[in-house]
Amino acid sequence: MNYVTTTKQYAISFLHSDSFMPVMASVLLHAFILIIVGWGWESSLVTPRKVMPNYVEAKLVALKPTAPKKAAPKKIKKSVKKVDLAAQRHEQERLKQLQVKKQRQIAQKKKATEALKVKQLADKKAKALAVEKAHQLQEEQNRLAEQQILVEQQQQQAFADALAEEELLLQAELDAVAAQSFSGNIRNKVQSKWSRPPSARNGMKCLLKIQLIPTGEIIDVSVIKGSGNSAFDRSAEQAVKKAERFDLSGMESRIFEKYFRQFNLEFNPQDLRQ
Amino acid sequence: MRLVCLFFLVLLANGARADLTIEITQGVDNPTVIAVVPFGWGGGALAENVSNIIAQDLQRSGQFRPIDQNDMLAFPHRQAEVFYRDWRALGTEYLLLGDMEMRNGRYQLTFEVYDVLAQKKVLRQSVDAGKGQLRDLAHYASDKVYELITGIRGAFSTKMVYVEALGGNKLYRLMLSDVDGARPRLLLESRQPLMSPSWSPDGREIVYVSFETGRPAIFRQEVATAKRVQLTNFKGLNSAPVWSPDGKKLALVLSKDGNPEVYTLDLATGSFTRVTRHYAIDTEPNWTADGKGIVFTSDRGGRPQIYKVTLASGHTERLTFEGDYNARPRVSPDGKTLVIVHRSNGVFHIATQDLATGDMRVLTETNLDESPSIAPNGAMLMYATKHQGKGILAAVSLDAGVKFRLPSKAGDVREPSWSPYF
Amino acid sequence: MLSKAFKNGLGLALAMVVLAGCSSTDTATDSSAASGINGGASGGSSVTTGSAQGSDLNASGDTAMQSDTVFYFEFDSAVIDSESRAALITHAEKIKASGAEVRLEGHADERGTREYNIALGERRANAVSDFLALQGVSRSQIEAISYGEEYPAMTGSSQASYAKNRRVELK
Repeated sequence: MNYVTTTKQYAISFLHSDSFMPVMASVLLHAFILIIVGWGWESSLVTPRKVMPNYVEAKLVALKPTAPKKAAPKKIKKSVKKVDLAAQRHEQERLKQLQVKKQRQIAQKKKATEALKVKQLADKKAKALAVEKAHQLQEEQNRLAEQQILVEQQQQQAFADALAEEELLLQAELDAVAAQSFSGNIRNKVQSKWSRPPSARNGMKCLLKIQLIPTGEIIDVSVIKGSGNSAFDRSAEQAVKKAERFDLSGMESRIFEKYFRQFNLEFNPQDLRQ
Repeated sequence: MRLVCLFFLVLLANGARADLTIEITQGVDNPTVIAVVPFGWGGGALAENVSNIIAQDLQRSGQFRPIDQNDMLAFPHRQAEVFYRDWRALGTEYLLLGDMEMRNGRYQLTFEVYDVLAQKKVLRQSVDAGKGQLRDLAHYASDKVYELITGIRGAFSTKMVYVEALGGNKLYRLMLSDVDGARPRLLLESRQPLMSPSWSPDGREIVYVSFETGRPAIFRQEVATAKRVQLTNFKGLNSAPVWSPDGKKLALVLSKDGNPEVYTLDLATGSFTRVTRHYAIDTEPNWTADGKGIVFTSDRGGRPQIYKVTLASGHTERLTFEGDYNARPRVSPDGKTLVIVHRSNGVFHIATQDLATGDMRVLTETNLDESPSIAPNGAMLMYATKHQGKGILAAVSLDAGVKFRLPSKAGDVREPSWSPYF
Repeated sequence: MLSKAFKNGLGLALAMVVLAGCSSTDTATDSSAASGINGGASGGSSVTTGSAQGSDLNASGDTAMQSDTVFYFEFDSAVIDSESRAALITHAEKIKASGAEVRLEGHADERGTREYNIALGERRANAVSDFLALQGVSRSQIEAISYGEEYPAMTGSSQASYAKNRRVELK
């Protein structure tokens, strides 16, 4: 008897626990994202990718999708719950056995005359319990139904929010990928123009600020942080000036504004002597 | 909480200006394109074409590609006459203009360097020199241009000494010249062999071996006055003298004790200190850059290899392991590179060995290459080789990027020694 | 020997004094401008060494064919071969009998570095010197000297000429 009650209580407590809803939301959300990424958006993704040159080497601080982080804690929580459940069952079993033992002892002590009275009382008690149980069950079912509605409503809301966020994230990520591709082109062009002086050594660093206009033309180059070797710094500036303009064809203005109207070039040779 | 975090990230990515930094880790090592415009000069014919000498200096360094005068659209002499776009169209990165005039009986050269891409003047200097010194004017300007653009001090104004043998080794001459081989000048003439010339660190004296007494003996001689002193007259070898970086000592080789050993000679006291102690041949000493050690050739391992001895402790270690013939070490001015004569497949080449990593690199492709001598800026080295059976001098950059032969001389030319800065 | 060296030294010293006297023709005359170039290196000082020596140093090319006084060696080696040993035994007897002084001139081929080759030539001359001493010749009668690769017996860069140039000459 106690067993049933405790299970119900567990179910209720699970429904009420603050972890259930986000976990469910998360699971559904990810399934949704998987579908979007894997299938739903395919046609719309192809076009921008074709435009992008596929040589991607430049380093860029890209926004990482946050999906993998969500998955991990979920698993842990589930396994913790399972452990709790088993422990609870075990405890209930033990309590039940204790109860039975006690009742047996009582019955032995009572006289035969008292047995009937006891039996009547027990019947009455059992009846009352049965009624109460039925009542409780009904209440529980109602509450569960209400809960279900609430959860569904919240899930729908969470979906809508998360969808919007994921769209933004996806857009940012796509922008970063596009930027990376253009960065690679810029890097290649500058490297092909950079004639290092013989005094250049690995470990020298020169940071330049570059300003472009949307045609890709370089309108300003300035040294933000020099290497201490003026010949080295001048060679870096000259490399940019020799490049004259970068090919930004197919670049969306959003990406230009975000990354390329102004950016930095760090000259940091890795293939020279120490 | 997590949702809030995500939202914040999104805002950050969309709202703030992205701080994009593209890393440039590689480049090309093309020579710098420079236009050396013929210098302005109002007088009559000059003994030397100064701008041509500068263009040749820069070209031979391997770091520059001077533009052919025939390709130039104009010969400007001052800033107002410079049309950057024209020069840029020729691929010019730098422009060197000069104007010469005679003032108080001396040549005065004013030269200017322009950064064509940045469209600005980056250097302006004036220098003057007496008659007969037009080449000095040119080398001076070459040094300044080279240093400005490469970040390394130029060595075009330095000198070299070398040995020239005439008439099938009947007559020996110790010669001094510019490092491009021009303006040779006789320092010493002898009917017996002259060998192993080497400079003092202040560039005022040389030491060498002369057989004029019937035996090898070491002499020192002032370059400007020809004043000379015999330093050694021992039985056996008196060989391979080299000045210490502080100018106070010589390292040299004597075999007075039975076989060739490296000694040091204190020039102030005249006392000799034995450095090596081995029954094998120990010879061809050269000081390490800090003057605390000596590298030398020894066949103590059976074949000639390079060893290094630390003078304070006497500790000796072997430096070369690649191949069965490595000899005549010279240490680069920065102390990081060893230049040696290395035999591979029976052919003698000049090679470098990185003293930190031990990596060896062969620089030359001719045969019988020997006597490498490094420029004081560490960028080039001069060496002796054979061309059509005759001894000639050649140069190669330490990165092997450029190689060239010096103009041929009347005799057999050998043993170049590049001077320090004056 | 000593007096000869002294005479040579005196002659050199005289030559030096004379030439030093002439050497002030062109010195630094351009010190007016801070950036001026001084002509120190363009001065015209040189030295000619004293007269030729008593011993016939330049005749190596002529004597190389006299095989009984020329002993040949392998590359980078100072080992005397059996043929040379036989000839040297005969020479040792003559030298002992005459009491004359002999000069051993060691040579190397052009391969390898000059200063290492000087050492190699000396090693060869010393090897012959040691062999003669073993035959009873007094060391005071022997002078060993090395010319390295300075005086090839045969010019050219063939193996044949190299073999002729790795030698010790007995004089």
